[in-house]
Amino acid sequence: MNFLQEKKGIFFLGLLAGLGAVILAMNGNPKNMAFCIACFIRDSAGAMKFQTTPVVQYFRPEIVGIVAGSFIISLTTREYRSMAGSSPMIRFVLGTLMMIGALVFLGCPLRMVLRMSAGDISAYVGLIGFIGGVATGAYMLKKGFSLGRSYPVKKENGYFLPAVLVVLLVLSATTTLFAVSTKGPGSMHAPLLLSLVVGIIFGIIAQKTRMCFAGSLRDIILMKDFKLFSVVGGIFVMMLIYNIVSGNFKFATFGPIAHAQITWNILGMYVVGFAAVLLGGCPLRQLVLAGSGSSDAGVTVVGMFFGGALAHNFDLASSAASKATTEAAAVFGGPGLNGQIMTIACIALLFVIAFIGIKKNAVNK
Amino acid sequence: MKKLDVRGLSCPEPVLMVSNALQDGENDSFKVLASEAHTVANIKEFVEGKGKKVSVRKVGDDFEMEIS
Repeated sequence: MNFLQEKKGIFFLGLLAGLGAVILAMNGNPKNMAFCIACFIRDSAGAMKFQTTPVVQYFRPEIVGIVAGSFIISLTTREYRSMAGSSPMIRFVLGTLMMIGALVFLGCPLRMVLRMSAGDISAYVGLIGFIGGVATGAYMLKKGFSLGRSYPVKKENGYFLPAVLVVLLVLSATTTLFAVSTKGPGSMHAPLLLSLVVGIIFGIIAQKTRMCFAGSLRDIILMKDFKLFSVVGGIFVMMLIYNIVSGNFKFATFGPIAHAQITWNILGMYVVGFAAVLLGGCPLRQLVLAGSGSSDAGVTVVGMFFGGALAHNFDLASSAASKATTEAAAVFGGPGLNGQIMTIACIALLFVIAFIGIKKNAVNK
Repeated sequence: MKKLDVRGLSCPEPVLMVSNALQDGENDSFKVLASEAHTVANIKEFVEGKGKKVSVRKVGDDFEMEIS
């Protein structure tokens, strides 16, 4: 097992996780969106009618799989520990903000990397904002930002999220309670069991490697540590190979389900990077931590779900751009006025939260 | 011996605290009390990268690390 703890091993596990994304892309998940925590939580919120945008409603088994995978592996390796009490309400808000930022950009950091591997230039633009957000968060950490300690709680606290998600998945598969998109990204999905299995494996890998898109950059900025970055590199390389082989790779100002508005790609991802560092992990990492017993991360996940619903009910999410065709004019895409105002509000709120969280006589200065 | 309590803190605070402790007392050994396995792994990697020795033992549900 030692091999897997080293940089090479982590890169290898990254390749394996990337392979999971490739399999999903080959089996029906949307192009350049084989895996996206933000989009998938938003789709799941839509399936449960918390938002009713017809093209983004499908209960995504991958989300259930990641939490379940992390839960199973952490129980097996005795790493599961039920903890809670580190600013739950602030985390809920941060989860909401992180989600809104992601839906203005149209993707979480994981999807940003997948889009980059397909040559989508707008994702590289988003990366600029993401790095800026992570750097801002890292600066706040240096200044002594903390959401405070979590404490051991009854172990059953951590059982609820995985259990509820599994029950919901069973309901979505066996009843007509849930909405399912008939067109658009929500209608594109790999078979349920395959999505679930890949999700579980992804969750196991993410738990073992401590995979985190925000953390990988944060560790480079704060400590010149490239270890977490190698798992991200693995995913990127695997998807890049797949995109080149399948002819999906092309440099374009925007790819499928994306927009090319530079300002809002940057600011949307800035919100995600900043919020993720304040939370101690990106959207994927929150799912994994929630699976391994953190109620604080669980609350963050619920906040993200709430953010997904909010983003569509109040027109904060961006629309995808499209080129002109014989039937339709070109669509510019990006966020409307509501989304633009909210993005600025999110940034302001993040600074407020950051300053609230800076302790006097900080321990981690 | 200096004792650092990083229990229940979010990433990357524990590692930052250990990093500061290393800078403050370059050659001293000290103990770190952590509550979660991933925190232990993060700290272990970080200090081993700095050429330090680490031993970990379970104390109840927590972990006590000795760094020298």
